[in-house]
Amino acid sequence: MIREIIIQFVRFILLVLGQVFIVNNLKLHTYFNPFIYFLFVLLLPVSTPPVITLLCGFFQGFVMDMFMETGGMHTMATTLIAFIRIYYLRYTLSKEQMDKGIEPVIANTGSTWFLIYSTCMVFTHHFVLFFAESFGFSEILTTLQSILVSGLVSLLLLVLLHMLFFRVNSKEVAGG
Amino acid sequence: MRNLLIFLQRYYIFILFITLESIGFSMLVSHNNIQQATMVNASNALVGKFYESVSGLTDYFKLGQVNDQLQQENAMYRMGQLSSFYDNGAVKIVRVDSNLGQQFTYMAAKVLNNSVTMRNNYLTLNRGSIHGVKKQMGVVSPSGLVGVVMNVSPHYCTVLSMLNKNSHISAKIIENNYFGSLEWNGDDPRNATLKDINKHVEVKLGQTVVTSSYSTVFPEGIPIGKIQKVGFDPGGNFYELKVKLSTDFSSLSSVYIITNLMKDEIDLLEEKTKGLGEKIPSANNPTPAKP
Repeated sequence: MIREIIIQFVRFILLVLGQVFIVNNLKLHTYFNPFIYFLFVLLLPVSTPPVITLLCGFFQGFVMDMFMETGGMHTMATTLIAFIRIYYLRYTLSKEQMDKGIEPVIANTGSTWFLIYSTCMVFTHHFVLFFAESFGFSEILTTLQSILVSGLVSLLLLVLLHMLFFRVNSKEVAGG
Repeated sequence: MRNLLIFLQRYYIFILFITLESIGFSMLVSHNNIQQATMVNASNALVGKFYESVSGLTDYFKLGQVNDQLQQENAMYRMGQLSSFYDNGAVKIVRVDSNLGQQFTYMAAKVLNNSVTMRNNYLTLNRGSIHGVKKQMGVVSPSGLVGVVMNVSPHYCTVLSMLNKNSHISAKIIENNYFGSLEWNGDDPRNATLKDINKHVEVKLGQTVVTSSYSTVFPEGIPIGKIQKVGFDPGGNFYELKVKLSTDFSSLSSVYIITNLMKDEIDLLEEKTKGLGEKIPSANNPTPAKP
């Protein structure tokens, strides 16, 4: 239990630092703002109590807002995906997987499930984030463009990052 | 009471979610209201420390460029020295004059963090209230305008970059003295848009845009950029001029914070005048006398 908490904590710190000091410095184009830090929320163990998941999402968003001077944008986006995640997992994973308290990674759930899961989460997150950033609908086309481009790049980065740090070959057949 | 408890037990996740989202939303709203961005300000010191230590590392990579810039600046100051003026016989050039009171002072600062790709960009500098930095001070780079100080903590300050939705800077075209408002439309960190210049004014490509004298934040004549493209607003009565910015925001590392020593005096006077105008509206529109 303690070990699990320490692992999650280290993952949290590494993702925040990676986002702030590496990904934020890419500065390739205005529409190109990938975000990877919320991989932490995506990969929390399935058995995490809903309240803890929500608070984790909130806290991580808050930390990102502090670093990036963005008001409450990241807080709102990350809290929302933490909330959606609770129900998404409940409806798409089998009872066994839920009881076992696995981590939602490719090795445990299969690549199709993981891809759909992360696509939903990335685009929900980016949708809230970029609309909160433009704070209105006056620049809707630019905003949608940013969501699409940044979302695809974030997704790619998330999957690559995930493959770097987790085993991909699955032991069990994908469920859900 | 029992029903309430059951209700809470059933929907506590949703209630918690709504609470957290509202906290986030209120933070966002207060943040967009530039005058009172306090939530993020409290944490500046901690985050500033982080940025400072990483900036200490990455600054080494920019040293060459910074040296070039410094050299250019030094050359300019040498040009301004007495020794580099030709002595015209009877006329003596006196630089320090009791007629000229100092109005603007400059303070060097280092950029600890900077973004250019977001819709709203901010900078973090390593100067704060103990160095005398206050809200609404101007920030310029050796090559041109950068932004306005937004939040101040004891050792750091954050700057509302010109590349921000909330940034409106009073600018004028140096060749014909017409002024407008400079905004950034969010797509390219190298360009900004100069609006509100009337259509009858003759505007040419390549004309220089500088800060106007109407601002208490910047001295007059700080370079902003050059006109790159001439367009019109949807209504068609005003220009929308694309300005190529002289500051390269993606490689900023050293800037100056400008203090206007007379800002308080000007602001106080203007506020007083405004208050007076509201109190006696009839002074502006006198009722016509009856025949």
